[in-house]
Order: sequence, then C-alpha cells, then structure tokens
Amino acid sequence: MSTFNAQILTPNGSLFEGEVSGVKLPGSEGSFEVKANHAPIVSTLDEGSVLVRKSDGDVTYMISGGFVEVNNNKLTLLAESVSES
Amino acid sequence: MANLRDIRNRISSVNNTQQITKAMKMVAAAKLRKAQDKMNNTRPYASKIEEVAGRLANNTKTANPVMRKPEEVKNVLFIVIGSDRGLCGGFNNNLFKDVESRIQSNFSSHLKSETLSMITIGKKASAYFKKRKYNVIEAFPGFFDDIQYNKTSDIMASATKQFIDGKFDEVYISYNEFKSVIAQNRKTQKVLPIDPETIGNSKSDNASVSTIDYLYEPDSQAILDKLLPLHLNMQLWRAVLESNASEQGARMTAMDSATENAKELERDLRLEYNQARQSAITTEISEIVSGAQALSEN
Repeated sequence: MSTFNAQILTPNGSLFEGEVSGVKLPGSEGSFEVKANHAPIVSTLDEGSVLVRKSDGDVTYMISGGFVEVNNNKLTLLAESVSES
Repeated sequence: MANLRDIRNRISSVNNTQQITKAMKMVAAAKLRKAQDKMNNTRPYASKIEEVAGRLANNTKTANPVMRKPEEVKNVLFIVIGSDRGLCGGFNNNLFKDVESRIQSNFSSHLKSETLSMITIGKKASAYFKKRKYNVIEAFPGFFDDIQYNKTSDIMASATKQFIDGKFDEVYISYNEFKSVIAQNRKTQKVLPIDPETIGNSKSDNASVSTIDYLYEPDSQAILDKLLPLHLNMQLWRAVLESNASEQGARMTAMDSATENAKELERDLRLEYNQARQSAITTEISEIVSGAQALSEN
C-alpha cells in the first residue's frame, strides 16, 4: 500500500512523524480520512480522535481541535493539545 | 593577632560565596540547555502556522476582527515578561527601563489618562511595575516554576477577546529575546492588531507554495478565524520561552562574572593575609633578637 509522510506538531514539539498509509481526522465539516496522493487541502479540525494507520498498527490521538494541511503527500497536523490514547 | 584572623574569616566567606555562584552558574547552564530545547521544539509548529496564516491572510480579502485597525488608539495593553528570580544581572532592569522609556515617548498621554494597562509575567515584573503605580490589571508571579502552554494561551486568549470587544486598541509584548547565551535583545512587539502584511512574510520568498490550489474546508475565512488566535497564542508562548532562555543565559553570565570577582577578591585577600603574616613574623623575630641582645649585653 502506498504511504505518505505525516507529522503531528504541537507548541511543545513534534509528537509523531513517520510514514503512514492513512490518517482519519475529525474535520469540522465531518470526519474524513486522508490517503496517499490526496489533493492539497487545509481544513480545521474539531475536538476528537485522530487515527493514524502505521505499518505496525494503528495509533489514536485525542486532540482539542486544530487544523491540518496536506500537500504533496505530506500531512501536517497542528493542534494545541494532543494526547495519546 | 586579630587582624590575621579577620582576613582569614573573610577569605573563607569569599570562598563560600564563590562556591555558591559557581553552583548557580552550573544550574543555570543546565536549565539553559533545557530552555533552548523547548524553544527549538516550538519552531516547526510556529513556522507552519505562520506559513498557512500568511498565505490565507494575503488571499482573503475580508477583514478579521483581530486585524481591526482602530482610528484612534485609546487603550493600550502591555504584556511584560520578566523573571521570577533575581541574580541574573541587568536582565529585568534593562528590560523594564526600556519599556518605561518606550511608554514615556509613545504613550505618555495614555499613561496620564490611565488608559495604559499592563499584564506582568514573573515576580520581578509584577513588583517593579506595581511599585511604580502602573495600572497592572493582572500579574502572574511564579510563572516560570512550571511553564505551560495553556497558561500562556489563556492569557493571550483573554487579551484577544478584550481586543475584539474594543477594550484595547493595541497590544504589545515586551520581553528579552534570546540572541545568544551572553546577549539578550530587549524587544517590544506589537501583536494586536495583526497586520496582514507582516504575517508570514518571512516565508513569502517561497512563491511556489502560494500557487498551489488548496481545498479549504470549510472555507478560507473560517480557517483564518481559527488560525489567527493560534498564531497569537504562539507569539506569547514563544516570547515566554525566549525570555526563559535569556534569563538562564543572563544568570549564567552574571554568576560567571561573580565567580571571577570572588576569585580576584580572594587573591587580593590572600596577598594581604600573607603580608600581615610576614610582618607579624618579622616583628616577632626582631623582638626575640632584641631580647637576646639585651640578655647577652648583661
């Protein structure tokens, strides 16, 4: 499966960076999932959980809201507070 | 001989002081490294926010409430970041003096009509400005014991809200910018209203990015509304971290020179001690010799 680079950034530093096959996000217009070769997008995020599909299993993070940018197979998620769950 | 003992006591007290300043320097150095790491950790987040906000601010025509330019600047808010502890050289005083002179030259009429408010972060800043009868609306002593992002974002969020409500027309942050371990820059930065021209300009040479056609969800205006408060929070957070790193750097230099001074003082005292000792011995010998002479003459 094709993968892309994802990064979760908080004011306290980078929380996650690596190759993933998909990231499911709590978009403010409804939940959506980003796969490889997604069109460039900037979206705000609501409070909720972010599911990161890594090759060695899925990881879920809780975020308090923030926003995400996808461009050229690189996803950047920015959130003020993130916790692993 | 009392004099000799006095000098000996002083030498040992200088020695003790030297040990303390040396230890404080070491502690500051360790804290500085941590503070610098913290500062560097925020960079990717900050630059991304600035990049996206800059792109959106330049593309969106409608004005955001945080960009509101008042016709007349009536109420001004200063957020001054000092330190909680002293023994860091001119770190606090230099900044406060700079802030005061800035206020005197730019906002003296506001000062008279009491439309200049202040939020102070750090014990030293609170003490300084309260003593000088500034209108300190909120003070945060003991802020640096445990630096947390949500504490700064709370302060900034309330300032932003009051700006939008029209209680303040301009908001400034004053802090020590971290230049290097031995140098701090006193800086006063206007954070509100946001000037769309300046935001994200550092990235604008990156023209290829701005030509990409992004999907905006829900729409660019809504994203900008959400993004700008984050950007503002980040400004204060960064200022706090820079100030924290500067403080440790300033303390390190101050303690280093204190250690040097103590060393020099000790050297001088030791010389004095040896001279006094020598003269005491000389006196004693001459007393013995003259005593012996007096005996042999008999």
